[in-house]
Amino acid sequence: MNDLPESAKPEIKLSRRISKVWVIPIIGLFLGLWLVNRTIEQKGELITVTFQNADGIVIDKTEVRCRNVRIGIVESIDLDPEDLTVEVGLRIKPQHLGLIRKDSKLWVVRPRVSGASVSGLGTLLSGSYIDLDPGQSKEEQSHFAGLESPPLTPNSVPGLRLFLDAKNPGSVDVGSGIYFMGNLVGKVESRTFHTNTRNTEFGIFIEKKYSSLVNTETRFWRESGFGLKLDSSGVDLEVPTLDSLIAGRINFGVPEGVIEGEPLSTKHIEYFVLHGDEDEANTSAFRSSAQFLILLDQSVRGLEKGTPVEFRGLPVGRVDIISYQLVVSSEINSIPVLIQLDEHLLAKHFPPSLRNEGEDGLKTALKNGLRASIKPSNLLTGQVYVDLDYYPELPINDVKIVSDYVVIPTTETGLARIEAVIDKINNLEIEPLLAKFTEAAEEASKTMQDIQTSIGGAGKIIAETKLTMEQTKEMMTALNAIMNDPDTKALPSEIRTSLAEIKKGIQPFSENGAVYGDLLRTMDELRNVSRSVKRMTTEISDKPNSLLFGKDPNTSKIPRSRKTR
Amino acid sequence: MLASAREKNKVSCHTCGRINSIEEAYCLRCHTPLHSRKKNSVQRCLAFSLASIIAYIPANIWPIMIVTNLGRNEESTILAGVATFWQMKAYPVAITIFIASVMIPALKLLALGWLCALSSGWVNTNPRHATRIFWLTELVGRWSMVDVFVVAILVALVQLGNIISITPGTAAVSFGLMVILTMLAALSFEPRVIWDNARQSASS
Repeated sequence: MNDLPESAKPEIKLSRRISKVWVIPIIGLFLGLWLVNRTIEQKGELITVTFQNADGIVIDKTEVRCRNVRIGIVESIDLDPEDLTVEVGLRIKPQHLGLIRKDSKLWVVRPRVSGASVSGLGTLLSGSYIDLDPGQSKEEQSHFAGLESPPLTPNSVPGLRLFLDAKNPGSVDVGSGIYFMGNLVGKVESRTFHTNTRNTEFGIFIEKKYSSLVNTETRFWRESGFGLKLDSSGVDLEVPTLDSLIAGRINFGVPEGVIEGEPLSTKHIEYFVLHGDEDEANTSAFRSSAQFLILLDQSVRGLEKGTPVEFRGLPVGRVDIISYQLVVSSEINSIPVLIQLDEHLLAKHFPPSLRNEGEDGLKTALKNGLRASIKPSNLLTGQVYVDLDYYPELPINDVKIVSDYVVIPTTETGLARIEAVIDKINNLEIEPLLAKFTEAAEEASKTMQDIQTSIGGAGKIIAETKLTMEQTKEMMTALNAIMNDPDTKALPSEIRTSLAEIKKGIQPFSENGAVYGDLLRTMDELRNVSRSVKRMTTEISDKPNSLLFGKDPNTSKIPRSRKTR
Repeated sequence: MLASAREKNKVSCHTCGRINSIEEAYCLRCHTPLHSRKKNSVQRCLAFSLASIIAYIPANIWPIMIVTNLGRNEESTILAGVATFWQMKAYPVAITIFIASVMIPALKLLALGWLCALSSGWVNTNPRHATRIFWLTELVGRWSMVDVFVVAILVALVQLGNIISITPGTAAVSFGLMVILTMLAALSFEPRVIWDNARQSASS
């Protein structure tokens, strides 16, 4: 023991210093705190969504997904005691909170089979999940109304969203196509009926590349059902496409003659009217540029609101109001009719220099004899139109103004003229005409007598006929002689030989003939084939895989149980 | 009461068990540094126990196992698993899991704490009971790993992609850590101190 060095002597001590091992719980504590912190940070925010029912939604299991990426989970499901809707609480991860916007849409993805499509088949096995379509809005929101069915087009798809107001929605419904000149450019996304206005409001979506087609002058109309038009050019039957018959479709476009409007500003949602048909859409394009009063002394039967106003056949406007109320003073007995000239129609037919002459232009026009008149456009239906034309023989020098409207003087044409013609007919002298007519009748009876005298020569003709009969008799005797000739008699025997030859030709087909035997053999073979086909079908129906694996040699034996053997 | 080695100025070697004189710094046979008692045993035991308490919390809060069944993730904590088995009326399984995974670690930590208090002289009890408790603590400690093993085996076996697959959750790691830390705590405890204390109190 003494050979050990001095320093190796043990130092006996009872240690009371703090051990290094304490580092371990401290590290543990820090780790724990860090984890707790992270959990709190990761917890995210709670948003609530109301659904009609909670079918397939499970607390802590049902996920919230966006583009199939998990962004949260269902935390609670509650039933609203008042309206019995289901309130689902969703815990969204903090990094995805940016997706929760005011216009975000949420719906439950379940397997869905509808007339047009099948979707959500993956959820058959994995269970439903809540899908989120992120919104574009800047505003945040924490309570949402869940959709019952997935939106047709996600919010994030760029495009134009508009609203259409329809008095009569027809067969247009969610999913109907929006067409521009026969091309599908969008879809109807929503349909709401407003009880206070009795209007149906459609939310429509137009793809971004087509959104420039819509401008402030665009008219929307629905196309559904058949159309039958009968006019001077004939019958025009319009048969819609099958899908528009079933689903309805909306067309849009700028009516003919209307100048394209301004492009829509993308900021705010635009409202348009959904017209019943194209004609309605076109007439809705009417924009009054000037109003004139015409005072009519004749019946206004056939004249109604919308009756066209034409200038020498060119449509320029329409009748707006027909009412005595237009004129305050009682001095005027004529019926006042207010007509409107349409900006678009004027722009279509007249150069701007003519249109912009203003009041002076009108004065010169009146001076040149501008007159309005009612002319029949269809004598059968009694439709009329207001015609504007120049009558240089009727110049007018002063412009008359009644109740702030410029009056275009009228001239009697059309129906009024026809009445005048009828008056003329009434005044015609008919008596001398009738006298002349009796004269002509007497002359006719004279002619008849002449004809009677000529009939007397008919006896001669009968004698000639007798002679012809005799000649016919002679011909018959000659014919008899031909029949008795021996050559004629040989004819039947020749026919008989021909028949014998034909019989020989048929021989092979007879019971003992070659062809008959062949036929018989073929029939036998056919019977065999049918029998084997029958066997095969029973074989296949008994054992379908025998087609692939061949016939099992044992199956041909009759199966019998061991006991009976 | 028998005299301890220390009283006779003897030190036994940790490694080979040779009894050396207390004057020796190293074992004469195997040259291992000699200590009459384990160094800082109470402190070490306490530190490891504390660390394992910290690990015990996430082990029970977080999911120990994530089951992906047909594309749907299902996370289950230990207690949720016990509850599930209990609802399925598999009472023995539920009880076994509860005892092995929840009760034993908790009781072990309690026992270690109590033993530490005992060796610091704050509490007094029959040293024989204390020794028995220590022995039980050491014996039972390793069985707590059952949970971790089950998870490890399931994870290795059930890997069928999207149809069904099991991945370990965060709790599995902290649970394993917790068990290891309690074992270290039990290991660093010096049971002889109990007897030293008992002798001291007897002599005074």
